[in-house]
Amino acid sequence: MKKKHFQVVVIGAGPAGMAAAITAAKAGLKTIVIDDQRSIGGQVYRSIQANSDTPPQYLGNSYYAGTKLSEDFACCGASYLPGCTVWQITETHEIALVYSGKAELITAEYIVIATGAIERPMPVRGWTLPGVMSVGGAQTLLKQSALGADDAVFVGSGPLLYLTAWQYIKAGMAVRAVIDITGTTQWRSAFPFAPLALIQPNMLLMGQKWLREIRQKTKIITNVKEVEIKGQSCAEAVSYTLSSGTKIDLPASHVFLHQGVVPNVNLSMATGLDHRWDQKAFCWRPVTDTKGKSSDEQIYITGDGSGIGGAKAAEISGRLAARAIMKRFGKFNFLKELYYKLRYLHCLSIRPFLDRLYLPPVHFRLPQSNDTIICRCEALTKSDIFDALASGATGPNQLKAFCRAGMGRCQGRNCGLIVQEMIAVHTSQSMAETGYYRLRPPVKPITLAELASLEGPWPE
Amino acid sequence: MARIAGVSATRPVVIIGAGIQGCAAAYFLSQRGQPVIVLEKDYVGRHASGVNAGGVRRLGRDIAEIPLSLAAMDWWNQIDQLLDIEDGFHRQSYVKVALDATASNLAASRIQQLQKAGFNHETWVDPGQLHQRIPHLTKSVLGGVIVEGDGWALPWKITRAFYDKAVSLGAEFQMPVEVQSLNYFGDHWQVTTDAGRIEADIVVNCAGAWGAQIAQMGGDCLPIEAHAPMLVITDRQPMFLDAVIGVMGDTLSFKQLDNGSMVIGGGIRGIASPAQNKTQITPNGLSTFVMTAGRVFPQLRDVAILRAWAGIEGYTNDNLPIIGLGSQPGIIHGFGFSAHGFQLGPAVGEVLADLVMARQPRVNISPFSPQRFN
Repeated sequence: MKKKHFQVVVIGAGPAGMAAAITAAKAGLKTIVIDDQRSIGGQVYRSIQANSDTPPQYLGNSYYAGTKLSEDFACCGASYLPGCTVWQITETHEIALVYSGKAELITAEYIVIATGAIERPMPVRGWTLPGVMSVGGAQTLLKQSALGADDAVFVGSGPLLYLTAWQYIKAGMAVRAVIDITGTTQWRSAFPFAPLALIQPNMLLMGQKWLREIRQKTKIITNVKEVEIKGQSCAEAVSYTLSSGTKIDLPASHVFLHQGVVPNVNLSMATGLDHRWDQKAFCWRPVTDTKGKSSDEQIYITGDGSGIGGAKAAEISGRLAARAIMKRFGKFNFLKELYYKLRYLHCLSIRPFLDRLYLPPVHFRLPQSNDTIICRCEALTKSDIFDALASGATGPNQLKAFCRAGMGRCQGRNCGLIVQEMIAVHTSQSMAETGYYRLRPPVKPITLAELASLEGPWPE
Repeated sequence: MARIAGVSATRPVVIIGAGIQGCAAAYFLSQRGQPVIVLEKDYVGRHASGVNAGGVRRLGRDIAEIPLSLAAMDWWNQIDQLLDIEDGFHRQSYVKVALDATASNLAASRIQQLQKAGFNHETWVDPGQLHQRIPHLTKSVLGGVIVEGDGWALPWKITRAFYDKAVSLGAEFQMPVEVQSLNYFGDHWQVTTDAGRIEADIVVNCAGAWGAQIAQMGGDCLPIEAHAPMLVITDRQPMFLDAVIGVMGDTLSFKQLDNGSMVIGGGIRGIASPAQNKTQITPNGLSTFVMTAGRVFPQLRDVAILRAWAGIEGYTNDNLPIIGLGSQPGIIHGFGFSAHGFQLGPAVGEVLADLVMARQPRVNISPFSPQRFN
């Protein structure tokens, strides 16, 4: 069978992916956008089209900033394949995908990876109890299905924590409390970058507004140094310790955790592209030039997937990547490129402040009790991991062999960063030296019949 | 007849490569009181030895290889006691099913051929018996060749256990240390590594896919090619299978691990880049052997695949390993197992130890002679 060929294949239909596709398609390049979800928007603008018809106000202005982009995308001329899983990119730039139960290989001259961010794991004791989920997950339920839970407790740090708590309150739900884990150390290291953040007063003002309106309805608890979720078979209470030493149990059947987002590098790593450890943002990032070109000349990585910048920065970086690709087809507009570059820098001005302020303290990144589950898929606790380290595992990939950490259904998406840091501490190596799990296709699970469909129909 | 190497007590034996062959050789030598240094460029079981399909089979082997495989089976049947481990060997049965008449004929002539050579471990099994023993097996199976008592092991676990045991008996492992050159000085070898020089009376080359490079340093031109046989592992499923399944005349190995996951392989090759320690999975290749699995177990259509991988393995052009003395005194080769060396490991370790200590191995290794490529 002849493989379908595109000049530009964009993976991901969030702000970066949509913007890249709009720019490339408008320039006349044969472009396709492939996305896991059933509708455009990515995580930040999830269900934007459905919500734009009858807009619920509680999602706020920052969400509806996606309306214009989604409208532009709808008429830009790029092909769009929703509900489609990309499970491998080969060295010859074949993209292996599964679409309605069938696998297919397509080829691309240029690939734009725009797979966004994932939440940083927050392995406090009890984080795996039913009733506990990530703030990102809670927000997705709200955007996509208008679902929420009354009397939830929000725990953690970062803009998404406050935005979602605010959206909950605006949607008329009761929020029992917001527990903020940001420490004084974080405030001290972020402070010198506050002037730079002032270049984006809107963002700061918006944050102020969220805080004010949350405080009108619930309490924000700060200076928290320990958090534990208690419960027998499901969450029953959040127990937190203030820096004064006071320990308080807050009854809760729903607890939403969040301590920031990191680039979703699963596809780019499995593709074998170069990555580097960013010690400031405390995450892996693909190595790219200023326009997103990766260590492979034909693959660009844009948006939060190349480094966290937020929705606006993602959109602009998508345009920059598409312009860099256009240039390689001989289409170049110096002024437009300059314009986007400046806007990109402008958007990023708040990041040094936010990165430092919301880098979770080490005792929230690392599990504190021995019975805390680290690898959920294989049900391995902190002490299981330490046993494997004690018997001689020296890196994440050896650890897999010793105890199967990261070998289950999620292939390390949940535990990868925790395990890496546990090893780094244990071996006194840096995070960069410790390295990450070697990721392998399929980047997301596919079924035997789907894979075999490259060959033909599954035997009956 | 080949010269038998001798050992002096002054210098250690240097083994290059900490895969299963190197670790097993280190174990047998240490157990016999011979000082050993193992040099490994990555870590124990990093490549084919740690990430192969884990088949422990006598089934389907080249006749020349059967005596070695039978000798290895003696060790597998006592592997827990040998290595102080638990559940080291999952003794089940290994079946190659016949899915069409051609395969049935192939099976019949194979059994006949083995009997002529004096081996009775492979026998025919009827479809009725197969269906009784193996639920979900395709209705269209015509029978198969079975070896009772074959099974599987976790390759990394066994390789690591040989390492642990060798270390406990005094073997020294230097990792990661890469060998840069081998020089023979008339009565001993000088092994130059990126971490210094070592003098040795005997060098044992267990470098797997990198074995030809080491052989070249030692003055032997032994042709092998590096390939990357691919495997996939599935999500956990209820336990249903206590046999390892292959397909007569086709490439498949199929087993269910203790945790319910299935490991599916069969030797279809991805792309190996031994110089970069890298392998690449080819989607079409994966599809081929997963389809073969579908022909055997059509009910598993919606089981999810979690990961595909490939290890780097050295293949000879006749698919038989290279085991024996090199052209210069004091170099011994044990590599090029062509993706069926895992089961042989314990016996190969013993043979290599015999060669080092100038003892006659208990099985005939002449078919594996390095000199056959001259």
